[in-house]
Amino acid sequence: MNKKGFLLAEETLKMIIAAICILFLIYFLVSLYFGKVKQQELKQAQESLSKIANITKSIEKGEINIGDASAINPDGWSLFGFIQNKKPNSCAGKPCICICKSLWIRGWDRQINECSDEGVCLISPPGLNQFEEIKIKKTTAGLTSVKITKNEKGEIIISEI
Amino acid sequence: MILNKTKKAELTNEQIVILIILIVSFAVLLFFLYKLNLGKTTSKEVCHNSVMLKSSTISKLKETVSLNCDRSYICITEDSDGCKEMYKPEIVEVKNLDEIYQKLADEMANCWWMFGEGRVDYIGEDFFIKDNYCSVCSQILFDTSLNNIKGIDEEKISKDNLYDYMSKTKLPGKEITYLEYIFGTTEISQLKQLASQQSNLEGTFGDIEVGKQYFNVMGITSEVGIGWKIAGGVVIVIGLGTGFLFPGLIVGVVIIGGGEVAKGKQPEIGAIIVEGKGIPNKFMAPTILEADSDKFKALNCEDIITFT
Repeated sequence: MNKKGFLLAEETLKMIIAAICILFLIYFLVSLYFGKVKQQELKQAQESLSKIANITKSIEKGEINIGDASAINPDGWSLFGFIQNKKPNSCAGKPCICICKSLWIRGWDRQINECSDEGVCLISPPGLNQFEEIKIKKTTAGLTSVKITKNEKGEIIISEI
Repeated sequence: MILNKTKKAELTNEQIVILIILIVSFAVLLFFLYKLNLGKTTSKEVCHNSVMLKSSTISKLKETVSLNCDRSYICITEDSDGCKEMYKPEIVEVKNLDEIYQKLADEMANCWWMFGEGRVDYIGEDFFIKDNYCSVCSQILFDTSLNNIKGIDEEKISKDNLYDYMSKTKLPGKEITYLEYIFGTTEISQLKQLASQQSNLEGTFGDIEVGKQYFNVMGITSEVGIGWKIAGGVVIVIGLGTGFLFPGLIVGVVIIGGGEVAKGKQPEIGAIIVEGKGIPNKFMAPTILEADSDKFKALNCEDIITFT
């Protein structure tokens, strides 16, 4: 009987187990890498929001009426304003500014959930106007900066410079 | 005989079936563990362990150990379809006021436990720069459906009643009440009377407004200060360093809205400061305050050491 070309159940099983182990290893390494990257990106986002927070605090105290926050990071993420309706958890139901990844498909509150899960938010002072998403440019395309102003009506407006 | 020897290394059909059953069983077990949601308990234990590790590390190395404490998101509702304002919260369905108080008391006790029950200094060296360190253990949404519950009037839940409940109810499996566990006393009425030193009216813990989100927050002060550093004019701290005699471990009371008290408004107790057990630090015992409200800001938390 010629059995040379026939794959035994034993070999098949070994191959399946080996494939599972390799896949698990790849998953583990990829998670480790992206976990590290995500940590750095969240730190950058937090620092960027701190810059914005310092300006909004000064505006709230009446020390200034206009301020610029330059070099908003991390690149590829976006600045969102959640003023009405649903908001990410860390906004505690109040109007807020968030830095998080921008999703292509946004139905079913996916963007809010993304900002809840993987973003950083800052509860804004009263009077923040709804603003369009501000995409943070890749560093090769130049720095992303925002202008924060308070108008005569007392509204706070955030726009890209 | 030779043929028999070569067959010894091969897996029999029976062994293959056993292996497959083992792999499938492992997958099923993992699935059930995931569904049981043991992660919640784990994150509390991870936080508690990180607090203990940081506190036991010698002071110069404290900076190298970081706390690993996450804020949990909870929605208390009467309606299982409620809680749409929060993303993936832990939904707690309640039928009466006592169930609400029970959940809040548990959250406050858990927070106190996670951060070492006032026995450990988990701050480290940089306390010369800042003074008040807060930890938001949980963010709680009181769903609007709670208005259907008997006893909730004008969309408000009385925090005085919550403290009364905590003074009468024992911790699960223990012989002490929630209040004794946190404050070392059940004499909360005495505390309210002491708070009235600022005016002729008795102190109150205030109300929780249904439909809003609240922080379950506690804090620690540096070991060098006399107690909770206040935001000038916004709050009054009575007791600290003034020779007041408070019950139990209590050393001070943070009265929110100092200016309003002077105008004759009932003094509102925002937080209670307790003595550290065997350490010079003072602690702000867990308290429930509206998220990011003026009352919360009045606590003057210089740093929040829990992750959102």
